[in-house]
Order: sequence, then structure tokens, then C-alpha cells
Amino acid sequence: MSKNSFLIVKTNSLSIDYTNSSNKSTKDLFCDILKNNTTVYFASISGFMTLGLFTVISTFYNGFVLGYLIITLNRLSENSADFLPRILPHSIEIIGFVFASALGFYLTNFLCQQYFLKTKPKFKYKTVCLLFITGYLIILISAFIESYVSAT
Amino acid sequence: MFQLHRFFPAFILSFLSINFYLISKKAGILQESISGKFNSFQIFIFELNNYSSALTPLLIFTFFYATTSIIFEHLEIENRKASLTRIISNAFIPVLIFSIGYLVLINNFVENTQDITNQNVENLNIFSNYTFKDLKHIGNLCWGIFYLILIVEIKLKYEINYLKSLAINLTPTAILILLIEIN
Repeated sequence: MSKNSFLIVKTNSLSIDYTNSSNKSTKDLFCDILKNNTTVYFASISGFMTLGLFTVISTFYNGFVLGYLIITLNRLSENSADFLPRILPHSIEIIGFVFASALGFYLTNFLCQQYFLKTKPKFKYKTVCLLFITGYLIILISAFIESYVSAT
Repeated sequence: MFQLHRFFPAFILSFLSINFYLISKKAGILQESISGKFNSFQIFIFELNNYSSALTPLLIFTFFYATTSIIFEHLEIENRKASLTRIISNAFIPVLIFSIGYLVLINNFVENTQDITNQNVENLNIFSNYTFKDLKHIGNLCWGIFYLILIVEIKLKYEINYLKSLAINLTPTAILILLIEIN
């Protein structure tokens, strides 16, 4: 398969416009996006239980998908202003997921040092709480933007 | 002397990874015959899913190895009594057998399938009168056996009681489910 034939996509099918695909109210849409992103957020943090392996896979997966989407839409569209308003709100939630990944990696590092390397590291409660709250606030704000601003 | 049994866990994990990858690939083909031809974005997502599936056994292995080791440390259980790697690999055997069977059946189904456009995958007959839904139940049973082997082997090899073994094996899974299903 040639590189060009691989990139034959229907732009509409890639649209991240929830309101067009369903007749959900903005509040329901907000709840749906928040629920979905919260699952990803907690899954990314709980990656510490697999020594960071799940956190790595989840971060790469999200990065690959968003990267591929932006590249494909950029090639197909004449003007990037056509698709950027739909994509950009997602860049905010990516920051939230990066915070979750950072938390996952911090906990992995702590557990490895504590239980496998037997060095007694100090657990930074303040940093962990700050990362967790900031990350979740970002997820909350991005869900709000996606449903109340971007989708209308 | 070359000790083959040392490579047993690696063999089980690799075999399982290959099986999971192939099953995911065949499931993608099946999905395409149900929902219609994929666009390039869907092809990309399904290809990513295939690689993620291949990593699933390693993920599960790491999860059980890490969490069990940590709980052992907390309960001050001597973890050198037996090889935890070997115990987890043994527990994977029923899942491996099921995955081989599933791969054969799904491969056969994909090769010989008629028109299944827009049909519900769970109600399709994969073998004789058995549907995909039935196979899912058998799969769940195999994961149940996976836990059972872990609980029994850890109890016997580390000489602890069943309650402790149950707590060691089920607490991490419960925490994980709680974290993900919290919303």
C-alpha cells in the first residue's frame, strides 16, 4: 500500500463534533466527556501498579492517535483553521493526561526505590496532591471547553 | 548445563503475546466485515490496538509481580521461598490454552464467513451452536482459573493461609477496579 493511498480518509468521519453525531444536551455531553477523561486519568495514574508500563503505553497511544489525526487532517485540509478549533480543545486535556502520567511515574519511582532498591525515599505528599488536583482541574476545564465552547 | 525451565516464563509470555496479537488482528478483520471497509484512521487505530494487545500479557504479568512483591514486603513474607515468576507463568497456562483455541476458531470463522454486515458480533455462531458470547464466558472462566492457580500456588509455596493468599491476589485487582470505575 502506498503512502498516499493509506491517507485516503473521509474528513467528516474524523470530526470530533459530538453534537452532530448525537442529539445529546450540552450537560450530558459534558458528563460523557468528563467520565471518559476521568477513566483515562485514573488509569494513567494506576499505571504505577504495572511499574509504569501501562502509563507508558497509554501516553504513547494517546500521542500517536492525536499526532496521526493532526497530520492527516493537515494534509487533507487546505486551511488549518478548518480543523484546529475542533482539535485544540483536546490539547488542554493532553496536559491533564501528562500530569497523570507524571504522577504514575513518580509513584513507580517511589515504589521501585522503596521495595526493590530498598533505599528509603521521602514521599512528597505536597507534590503528589498538587499534581493530582491540578491535573484533574485541567481535565474538568477541558471537558467544559469541549462541551460548552467547542461543540456549540 | 542449559536449563530450559528457566526460560519457561519467557516462553509462556511470548507465546501468549503472539496469540493476543493474532487474535486482535483477526478481530479487526471481523469488525471490518461487520461495519464495512475501514478508512485509514480506523486502520491506524486497529493496528495500534493489535500492538497494545500483544503487550497485554506483559502488563498483567508486571502487575501481579509488582503488587505481590510489594504486599509480601509489607506482610514480611520471605519471597525467596519460591519463584513468583514461575507461579504467575503457571497461572497463565489456562489462558494460553483458551487463547490458542480462540485463535483457531476466530481464524476459521474469518476465513469461511458469509455476509455478516451490520450483525451483532455476540450472537454470531463461531463454532457449532456456540456464539461469541458463549466463548466470552469460557474466557472469563479461564481468567477465574488463573486467579485460582495464583491463590493456591502462593498459599502452598509460601506456606501462608488461604485468607492471606486471597488478600494478596485480590486486593491489587480490587484497588485497580475501584480506581478505574470510580466515576
